[in-house]
Amino acid sequence: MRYFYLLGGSALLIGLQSTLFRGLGFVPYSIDVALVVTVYCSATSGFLAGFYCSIAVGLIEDMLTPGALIGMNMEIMGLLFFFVYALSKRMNVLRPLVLSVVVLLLSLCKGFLVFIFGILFVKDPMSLPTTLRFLLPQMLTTSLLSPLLALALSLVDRHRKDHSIRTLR
Amino acid sequence: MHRRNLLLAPILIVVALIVRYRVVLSVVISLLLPLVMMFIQGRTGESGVGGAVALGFFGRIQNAISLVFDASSNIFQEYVALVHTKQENKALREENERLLGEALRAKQVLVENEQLRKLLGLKEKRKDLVFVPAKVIGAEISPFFAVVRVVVKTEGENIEAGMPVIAHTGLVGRIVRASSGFADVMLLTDKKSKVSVEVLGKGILGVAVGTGKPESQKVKLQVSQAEPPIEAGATIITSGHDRVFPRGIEVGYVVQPENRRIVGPFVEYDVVLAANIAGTDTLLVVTKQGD
Repeated sequence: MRYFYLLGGSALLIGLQSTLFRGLGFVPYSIDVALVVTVYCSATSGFLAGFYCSIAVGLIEDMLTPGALIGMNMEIMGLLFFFVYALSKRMNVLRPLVLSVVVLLLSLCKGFLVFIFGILFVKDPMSLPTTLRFLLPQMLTTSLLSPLLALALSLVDRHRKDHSIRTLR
Repeated sequence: MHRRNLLLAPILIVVALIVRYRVVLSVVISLLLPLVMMFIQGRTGESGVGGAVALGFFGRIQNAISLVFDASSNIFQEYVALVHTKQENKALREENERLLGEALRAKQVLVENEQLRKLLGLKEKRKDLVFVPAKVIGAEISPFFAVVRVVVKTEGENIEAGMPVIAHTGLVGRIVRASSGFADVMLLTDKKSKVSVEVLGKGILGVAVGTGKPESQKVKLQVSQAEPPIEAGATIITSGHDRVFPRGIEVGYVVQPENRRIVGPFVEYDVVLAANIAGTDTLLVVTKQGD
């Protein structure tokens, strides 16, 4: 049920952004919801459940994003999960400042991965500087707003008695 | 009996290995699957049955969100109007706001009517083409593709990838994915977009190529170096040579021809698009083109 809420909420947020930000003209400043959900899942879930949740949220982002290369976000979130999962064993990645820095770093990694997948699977890919320049507003917005989004996601776990979940404190 | 055991042994070993390494295997398969999906999509340009089903499903969700957004923005406008009425003379203000609101709504209706009238005019003018209306419900939020998602009032027409999409002001793009009344439209600004065009009245043929910068509302016009220079403001229309877009649809206007560049065997001009998708909600999909 927890993952149903997490994935449903993510789908709603991504869908809202895709529809509303066009109307409001904020398209370049959208939040990478899937990335924050991946970080949240890797810090609060077991290995397999977190991994599948990350893959699923990547797939949802692919499906809800018009024109996206289906599978790209799925793969990226799956790969980034390993990194954050390992990191979350050493520190609490959900602390606001740490979360912002981690999300910024992961956004950069995502930019590189998008560039690599672009070369491999898209006929006419963008250059790396162009990819990163295009991603910069989204990176900064996601990094700044990730603590708030993680706080919203932690509402899903507010009734859990399991103390292994480290929420924002 | 002994022979049967010998045959079963390798199968049992494989099953035992699968059970033992099931976690690793499931992770590896989960990571390989998207790579295969991207590979297939990259080669064929289509997302397959899964993509079509997903587009139909998620398109409905986005359409619902779009409808809720429209309704809530109306409620918000009403709320703002009500808050203002409390600050001044209540009755007069209410009346004033109501009238203002009505005037604004009338203006919105007028603009919408104007757009629809122009679309209808286009429909009347181009009897060689069969159109179906479409409404924009979402836009790509990452910067890699210039694509919008539309809900199409199909009227029994079959919507397919490759069909041109136009607004009352000009060409918008083409459908790249379609399913159950929903479609993703690749805009002219997308880096992958290429349209055969000509300069109106000059007979100069060329190709309009996407810049990959949707916010700039510009495309690049590539013409042969042998062609004479093109003047500022020259109108660019589709030539129909690519057999995708019908001939004679307005694409845009040449701007700052002094900034033209030589790219390989071509001269490249900047073209501002005639149709601005940011301010357009209703589009037309060309489902059939006359010979």
